[in-house]
Amino acid sequence: MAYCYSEGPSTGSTAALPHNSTMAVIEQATPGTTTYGRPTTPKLFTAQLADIQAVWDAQTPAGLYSITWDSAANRVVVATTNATNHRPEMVGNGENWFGFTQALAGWNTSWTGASAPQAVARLLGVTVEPAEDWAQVDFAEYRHGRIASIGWGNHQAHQVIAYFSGENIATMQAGYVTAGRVRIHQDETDVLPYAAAHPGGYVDGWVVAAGDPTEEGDTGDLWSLRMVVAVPR
Amino acid sequence: MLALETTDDWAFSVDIDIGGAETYTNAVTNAIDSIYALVVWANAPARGWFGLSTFSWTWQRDATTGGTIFVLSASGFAFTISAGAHDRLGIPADAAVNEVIGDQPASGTWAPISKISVKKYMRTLAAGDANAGGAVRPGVPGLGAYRPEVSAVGTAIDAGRLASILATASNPRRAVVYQLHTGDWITLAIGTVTRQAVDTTHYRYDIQAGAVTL
Repeated sequence: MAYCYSEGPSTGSTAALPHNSTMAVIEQATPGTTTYGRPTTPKLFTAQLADIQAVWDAQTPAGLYSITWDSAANRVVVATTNATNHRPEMVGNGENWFGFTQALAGWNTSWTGASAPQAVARLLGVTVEPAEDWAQVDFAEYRHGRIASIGWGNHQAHQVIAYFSGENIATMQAGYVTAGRVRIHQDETDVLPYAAAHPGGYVDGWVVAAGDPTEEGDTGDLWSLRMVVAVPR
Repeated sequence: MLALETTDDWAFSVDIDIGGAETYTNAVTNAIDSIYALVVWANAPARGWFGLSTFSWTWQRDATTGGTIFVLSASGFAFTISAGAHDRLGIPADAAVNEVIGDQPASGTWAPISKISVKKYMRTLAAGDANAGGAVRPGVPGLGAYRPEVSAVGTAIDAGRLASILATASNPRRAVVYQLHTGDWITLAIGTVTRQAVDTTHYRYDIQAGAVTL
């Protein structure tokens, strides 16, 4: 799952780099009012949805909203909890990021994205190796064979191999989940972060290297992609 | 077991009491030298309990973290210990005991499931007829001017632990490693650590090392 970059402000039509940080909404009763919502800092996709919901609840004329990612269906659902007819509006690359690739017209109390959000890639499995210390280390040798080992480093790295089905190639190639900051769940039910004593937890890191999708075998439906994910320490 | 010199605050004091409390003040920056110095201090003639109780220490692997749990023991009278050594050595406060077992791993320690192999470390042996690689024996050729090879096998927990403690390594990077066949604790410069998977459960670690450290 990818993080979106955002610098705020939390609402308004102008913002720095709004390409996937922002979603807007118009309500039927006040069609002249467009309310924008975005987090004020970089946020994980699901946290971004919660932030947008909070902004809309506070800023829209009437609606109270529920913006959720349906994990099982892999779709984003935008709905009002007080039966307010509305229509979400996509900003920048929002249609791909949130998965609302359909033509958004008319009014409704609930909207479901027509496509899978490209902020999330469903994996068949993933190998996340325990962290490695990625310090640069030099040996310096002095007289009589005496040695000092000098190290510099500010991050650890995880070697990652993601396995996914053919239907997710487009999402992987879109780049949101293979570049920048991402969260990789090794086990979707494990809510604890990776730690030295809990190597099965989810990893929050920055993708510093990624290969191309590679077909595994010749069935046409099993693919893998190698990444190196760095975590500051 | 490997004990890394770390950037943690090693300036701790711990009270030991056998009929009168006395305070040990730590001045070294790795776990092995620290527990060793603590025991030497506790057994010194200047202590009030000298001749009545003799302290010793052992260690064991902590399977939960891959670190080292220290066990501090005293033969003779029971002792009371303050919590001063808890943060660095993992030894908690306890009262009227002959043995106190650490409740958390000591800082900078790594105890993988295998023993740690230290090869080609230069040893100085007594005079004799033949020499061995990595050894110096008076009158016999065969100076082992090699770089030590340090390796071990561990699990994912051990992999996580090693990366975690390396993040706290002081600069320059030094560690104390136990060499089984000589029964010695050896101080090495720790260079690049490489890792490879050897099966579905285990990793092999190779540590670039240099001996006779500064």
